[in-house]
Amino acid sequence: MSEPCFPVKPILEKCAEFLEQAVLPGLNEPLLIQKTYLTSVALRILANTVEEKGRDLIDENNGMREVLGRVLEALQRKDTLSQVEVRSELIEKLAVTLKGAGAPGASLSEENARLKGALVDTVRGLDTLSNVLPQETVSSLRRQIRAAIRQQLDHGLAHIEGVPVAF
Amino acid sequence: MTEIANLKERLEAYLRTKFPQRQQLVVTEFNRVAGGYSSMTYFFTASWQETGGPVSETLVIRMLPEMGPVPSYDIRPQYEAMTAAHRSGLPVPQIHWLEMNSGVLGHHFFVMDKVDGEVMMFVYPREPQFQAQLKREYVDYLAKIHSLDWRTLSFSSLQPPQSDRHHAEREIERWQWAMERNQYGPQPLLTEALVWLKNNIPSAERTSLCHGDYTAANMFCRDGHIVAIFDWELASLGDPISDLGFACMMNDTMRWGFWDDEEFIRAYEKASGLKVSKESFFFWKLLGYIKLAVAELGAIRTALESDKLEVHQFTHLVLSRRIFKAVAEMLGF
Repeated sequence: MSEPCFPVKPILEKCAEFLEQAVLPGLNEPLLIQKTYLTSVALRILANTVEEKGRDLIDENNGMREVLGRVLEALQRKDTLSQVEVRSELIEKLAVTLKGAGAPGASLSEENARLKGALVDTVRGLDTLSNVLPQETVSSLRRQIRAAIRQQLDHGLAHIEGVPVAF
Repeated sequence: MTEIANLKERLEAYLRTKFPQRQQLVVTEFNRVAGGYSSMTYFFTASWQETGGPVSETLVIRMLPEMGPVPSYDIRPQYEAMTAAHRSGLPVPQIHWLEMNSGVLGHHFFVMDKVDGEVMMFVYPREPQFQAQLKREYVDYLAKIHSLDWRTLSFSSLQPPQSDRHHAEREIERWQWAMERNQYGPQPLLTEALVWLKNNIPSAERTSLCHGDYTAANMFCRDGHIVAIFDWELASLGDPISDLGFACMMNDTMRWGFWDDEEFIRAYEKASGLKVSKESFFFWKLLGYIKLAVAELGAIRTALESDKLEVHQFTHLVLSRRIFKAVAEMLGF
């Protein structure tokens, strides 16, 4: 994803500031006040999102690719695993997902969604396989999966940082 | 003709057929009430002529869509639970009738009394002199709902759980299904949380009528008292601790600051005479977060797909991220 060619973030912040400082104080109608206030909130969310989006997605996708690769590697270690259908299905899904991942020019958002889908399958698959995989392998993979999820969560939280929303 | 005008016309025709003795019946002040994730609420005034003179009454229609961001889509459990709670003396509006012919207004609906009041979450911070009383009533009414003998209440849509884990299993399935149906992209965090829940189901110590959405957002107050408990569409028969977990989750998420968990649990134990297991409470509070997260994701999807997108709906994004953070913290990552 290329960087925007104009400074979107400060423009959006200025719009929010204008609503908050120039428009809101002059309003009397409660519903209009609420909607104007929430419009400024929405602009601030967008402002926080816009410049970080590309870098966040690259980091998230790298994180997911890494952990999914480790899961795939663990699942393919035949000496430690029973042959079960869930395992074969998960191996196939992960192999397909990882094969096309990271290709230059691919849409970061689409790849992010694909990797998240694979992560969801992995969480469920590991739960099903937790009785046949070595306990330390399951624990280690689960920790890594949670770290990847935490990274995504932190990006999401950064976008709403400082947004003054009261419900 | 606008959608609202069309509905009003259909309602008027329906009421004239339903109550043929009410001469010159007209419907006025037909308005949709904003808010709510799944149910649609309308106020209306019906006026007609009787031998003694003109009569009018203002009533409320509650309607459930066939699909929406939040299950359930069966209106009968809500009707049964509200009727039972009203008859048991709880502050719940009286339902006059249930209409299961979806041809009338497009969906199943029931008609109930209109109650005057203000939503508790707005009253509470503004009226410090009423706070102690409101908190007491909030807990007492919850304990009273849970103390109702559901075996004697002639429920047919509300099904008791088949084992001490069945209510939790049913709820996990329901919200997992709703999350997948909402299709707001894959959700690794919620999936991880649902897996944790599935592997950590506590045993329910008793079965009670549960409200399912017991929060200060679903109550009306007047003169310092709770006068109506609404929004029973998630009512079920199951573990009463589920309502405690959900109430405390909402208190934290919405930053109401009514109480902390310990205080609320102590008050509930005193009012109900029951002991609240910490493990059960943790489980149900986490599941409460999942319920709200799914509702928020559904609301975001509905807003994005709607041709009536309003910018204030972006606040669902803020709320959903707050919920995700709480889920991750509860699970320790």
